[in-house]
Amino acid sequence: MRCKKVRQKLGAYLDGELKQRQKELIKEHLKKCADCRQELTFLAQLSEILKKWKEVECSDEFETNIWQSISLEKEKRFSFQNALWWAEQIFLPVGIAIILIAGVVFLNDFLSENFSPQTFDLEEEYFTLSALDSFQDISPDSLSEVYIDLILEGEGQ
Amino acid sequence: MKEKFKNISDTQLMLNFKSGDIPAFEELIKRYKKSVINVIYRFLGDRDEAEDLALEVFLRVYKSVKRYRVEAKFSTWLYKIAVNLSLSELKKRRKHFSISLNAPITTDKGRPRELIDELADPSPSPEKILEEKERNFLIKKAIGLLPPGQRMVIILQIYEGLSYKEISKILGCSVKSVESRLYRARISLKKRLQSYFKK
Repeated sequence: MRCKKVRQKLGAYLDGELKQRQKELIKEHLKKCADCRQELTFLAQLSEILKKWKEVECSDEFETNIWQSISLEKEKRFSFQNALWWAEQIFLPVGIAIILIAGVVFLNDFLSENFSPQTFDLEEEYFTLSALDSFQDISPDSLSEVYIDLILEGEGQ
Repeated sequence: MKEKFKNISDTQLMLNFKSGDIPAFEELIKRYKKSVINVIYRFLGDRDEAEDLALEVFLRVYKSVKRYRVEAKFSTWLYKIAVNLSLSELKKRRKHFSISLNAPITTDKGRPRELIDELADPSPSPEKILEEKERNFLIKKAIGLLPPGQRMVIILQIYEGLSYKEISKILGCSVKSVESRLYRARISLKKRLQSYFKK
């Protein structure tokens, strides 16, 4: 094995990640090559140096904070479910009822406007009657009464 | 409680928790909280942020317990959540600012400090503590300068002692890719931490 190839595998050799055959080949090479042995020593030292970076400790409140977040999450989920329940049990039926009522009213208006032939005649009759009623309210000797008398006389002739 | 769960595997604890056993979840938190916080801390370099994200990791475990199926090791699944959260946090950060080689490294308390501040800590400390602080600072900086993919592989291999296969499952890549990332990461770290090598 060549030095370049061996050096690429030295890390895995050190970590015990090589298959038996590769391990033996590298062992053989290391016996003969001082530079690669030196490289292996550096890699081992590097691991030791890196491991000296101290780990951090968890704060005392860490677990309490987890449980607080969990209960907050539950509350959120509960209020969402609550809203869903209200929507299903109250708002949805009420909404459907309003739509139905509005539909019935609209349909009723629509049908009476378009499919009732007597409507116009009845309206006309009503207005004629109310017009005649208004003549009965004319005060005596008023200009309106004189005018109507003149018309009626004209019609009589 | 420790004794009660002593011989119970993580998977079994998760299954117990799935059927409503809350203390089983508490035990899982106890087992993994330090690892999760430290993986995130070493990746992002900020202790407070690491703790917040670790909290989110356990919250996600809690929320997805109903969907939990024994397909992989519990720890692999947990690390995967931690890694994904760390990577998305890094993406968010990159949108706001880019990392400069001279940028101050944030301390464990979250406040940015320069090396000079670290060394000039007002409390009287022996030489050894100063040396340790300086070394921690330089290792943190050297690892922080690695590309994210290499950084995460180094953290999982060196500090969590995971096998290449486990790392490949967590990161969703091949074992070969893990090996080559580690190789490149080691070359960079060797250059940056040269002063610590005994010749």
